[in-house]
Amino acid sequence: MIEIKNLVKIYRVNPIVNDLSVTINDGDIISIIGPSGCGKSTFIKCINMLERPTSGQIFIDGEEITAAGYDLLKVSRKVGMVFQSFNLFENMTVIENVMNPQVDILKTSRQQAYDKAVKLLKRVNLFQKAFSYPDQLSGGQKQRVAIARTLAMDPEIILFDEPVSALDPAMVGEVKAVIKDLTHTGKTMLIVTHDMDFARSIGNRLFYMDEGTIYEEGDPETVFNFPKKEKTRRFVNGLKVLEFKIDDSDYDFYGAYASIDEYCRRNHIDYRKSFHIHSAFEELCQGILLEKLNDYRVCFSVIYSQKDDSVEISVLYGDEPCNILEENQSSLPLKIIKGISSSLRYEKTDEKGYANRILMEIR
Amino acid sequence: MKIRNLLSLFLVTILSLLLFGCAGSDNREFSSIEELKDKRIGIKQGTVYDGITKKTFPEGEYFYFASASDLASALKGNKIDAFAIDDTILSEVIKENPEIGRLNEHIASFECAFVFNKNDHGAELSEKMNVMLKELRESGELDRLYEKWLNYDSDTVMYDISSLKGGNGKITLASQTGCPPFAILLNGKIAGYEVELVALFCEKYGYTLEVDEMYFDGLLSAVQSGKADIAVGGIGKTEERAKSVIFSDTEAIVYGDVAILKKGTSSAQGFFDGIYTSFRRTFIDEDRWRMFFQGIFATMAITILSIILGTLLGFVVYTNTRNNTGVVLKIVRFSIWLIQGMPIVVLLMVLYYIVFGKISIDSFWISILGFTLTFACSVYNMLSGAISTIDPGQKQAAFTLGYSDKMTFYKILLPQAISYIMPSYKSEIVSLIKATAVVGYIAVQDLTKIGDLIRSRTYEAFFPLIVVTVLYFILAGILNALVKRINIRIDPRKRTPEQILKGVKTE
Repeated sequence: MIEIKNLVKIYRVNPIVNDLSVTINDGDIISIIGPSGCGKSTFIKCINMLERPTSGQIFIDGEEITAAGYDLLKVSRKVGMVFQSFNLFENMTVIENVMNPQVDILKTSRQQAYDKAVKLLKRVNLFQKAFSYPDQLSGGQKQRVAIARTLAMDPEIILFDEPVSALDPAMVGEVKAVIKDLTHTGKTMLIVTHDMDFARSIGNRLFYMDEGTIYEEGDPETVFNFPKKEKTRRFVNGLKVLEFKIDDSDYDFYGAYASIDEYCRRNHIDYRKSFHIHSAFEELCQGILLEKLNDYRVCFSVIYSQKDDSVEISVLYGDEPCNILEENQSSLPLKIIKGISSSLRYEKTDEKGYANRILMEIR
Repeated sequence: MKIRNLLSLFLVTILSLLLFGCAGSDNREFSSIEELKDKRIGIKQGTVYDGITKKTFPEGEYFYFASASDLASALKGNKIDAFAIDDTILSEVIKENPEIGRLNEHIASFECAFVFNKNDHGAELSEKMNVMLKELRESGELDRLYEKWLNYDSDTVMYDISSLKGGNGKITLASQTGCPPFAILLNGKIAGYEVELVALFCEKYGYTLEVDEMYFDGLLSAVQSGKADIAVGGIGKTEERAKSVIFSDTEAIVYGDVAILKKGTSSAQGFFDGIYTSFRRTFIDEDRWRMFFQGIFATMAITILSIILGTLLGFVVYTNTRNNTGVVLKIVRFSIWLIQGMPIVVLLMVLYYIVFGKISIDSFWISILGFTLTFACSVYNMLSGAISTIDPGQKQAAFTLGYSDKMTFYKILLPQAISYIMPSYKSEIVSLIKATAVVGYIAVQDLTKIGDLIRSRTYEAFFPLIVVTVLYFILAGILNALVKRINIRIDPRKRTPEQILKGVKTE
């Protein structure tokens, strides 16, 4: 059992992992998803002390491994790790990569180490490559050797740090199959991945990480189908969000314009939609709201769904209820907005600081 | 191998043409100082001729050379038009080189004397020397000795230095051979008028004698720094020199003569006779070939010891500081910067004259120290460069498997670094053996210096230089072959499956 209490990891000044607490039971298979830079990799690297936590405690089977002077060799005996970039020892053949750590660290006899290496290499279907060097293998083969090497040390817990991210699409399958096979061994596994289908199908638990902590967790199907929080919903549905707040009538209009441009380009939004997003921003924020509001504070968001290639725009404004769609029905900006949207509606909201929301779907 | 043969043949042909064919074909013969006043004049560096030449030929163009043999070769090769030198040395040069002649007028005369350090010890030695010189002069022995060495040949008997009994300590003599009659190389040993006088001096006052061979411009600094007690080599008394050293009483007077090339006196011998004579004088006379073996031994010993010690030192420093980041690393970096920033010859001289100036250590070991330091720097840089190119992921993987930092280094990083380093290591070795050619500056008789010494006797450049060149090629070849063998032994990829699975039964 792994217990993590108030884990914090700070790089320079940025908190990468921020006050994370969780308990992982023996035999749990946990997939960890989340946007890039949310601290997933750093989090699992803390579990085997490859990254030293800045503060907080980690207990494995009741022993505090973060305690000063704790013998890290004990951690490496219990926790194995499979890396995104394989990290095989380049000076050794495949068989030595699996044999030597047993001999060097576990002090197994060479014969026993060899027998076990053969068994494991056969299991990952690579015994025929026993005398090859890592640079003679494909990515998928390297990762399977790395898994065999980790298994040879008999760890109770295996951490997978994006095990298929560096692979060609054609090789992802073979590695996923090997990992799937391991789920029947009863070992505790934590798998960081960007592969949504894999994350959904492999484990009994799913962590969605964001803002440096476990933002939402639960049974994979539940998290995917009924996410409790907005960010989780956006992530599992592959929604790309651009959000910026304007709180001054002298704001940098061209800067905002440029960031919309950048966002459209990055998400490969087609020209027509991109043009409409720009128009919606211009007409709503410049054309209508700038005139209307005394206290000019607006939160403008664009949400793009990769799955069905649709764009939704949400605009929050004003601290007094005020439906701009009702007034000035015939004004030119409003006409334009109606023209570019396939649905357009107003609602009152109790979002912090704002009383109104316009929701529109771009045509 | 074929290409190398062709290359050396080409080299030999070119050099033969230069030496035997067209040397001095179109120059005219000079007959007075006036005619030479704006011509190219050679100067033996560090000698009084520097000043004398510039006074005599104020409009001349000056070229500096290390020894009389270099001056003679330059004159014959038409690189200079004249040079001034002791009449005694010039007689020797003319004897060996019929195409060189002299002007009829002397341009200087000066008194030669022994040189001592300007401290109490030096003053005491110089007093004793003056007493001995006075006795010898009165008995006529001094003139007789001078006469003997003026007309020396290979049968001339030199006082046996090794027979000195000692009792009152050791005298270290700094000399430059190639200054007949004062200090010469005779039958492979140091001899000459002044050297014999020093030997007699040691006998009289109960010293043993050790001779350090160096370039003329190093003689005075050797005495000044205390590296040597006495310096000889036809050193003339000047006021400037007297400010920094003590001179004994005069033991000989020499004149400054001007050497020129005689017109139309190309060697009377035929081409092949010429080669044979040159070959005989370079190798056979006085068993000079033995000296080449000495030189090979010194060069090889310095190179191999420096490689071994330098590799060890570089490795030890790297392994002990590889995880340091603060002050220690800065100190290491600074030392490397300091050592690698200096030309190796300057480093050697700093070690010889300054660092170990007051300590009596054989210059052979100082040269090994110098090259060990530079080689260690290269090894350190190669190691740290190679290790840093290894992807840190392997280190992380080793950590998660339970490898300690030390085990990771020796079992995973180092084997990879070595195969990465090997090519540049090999080329470092080859450049090291060539770099050792400068040890002559601190009185080590390596291959290059032996070539110089033999040239200083024969005034022939051809065979000594060719042989030295060829020998360097051979030595570098031998070292390369050795390293190649080591390379094969340590390359992990050259192992067979049986070697990989040693001690394991595979069903």
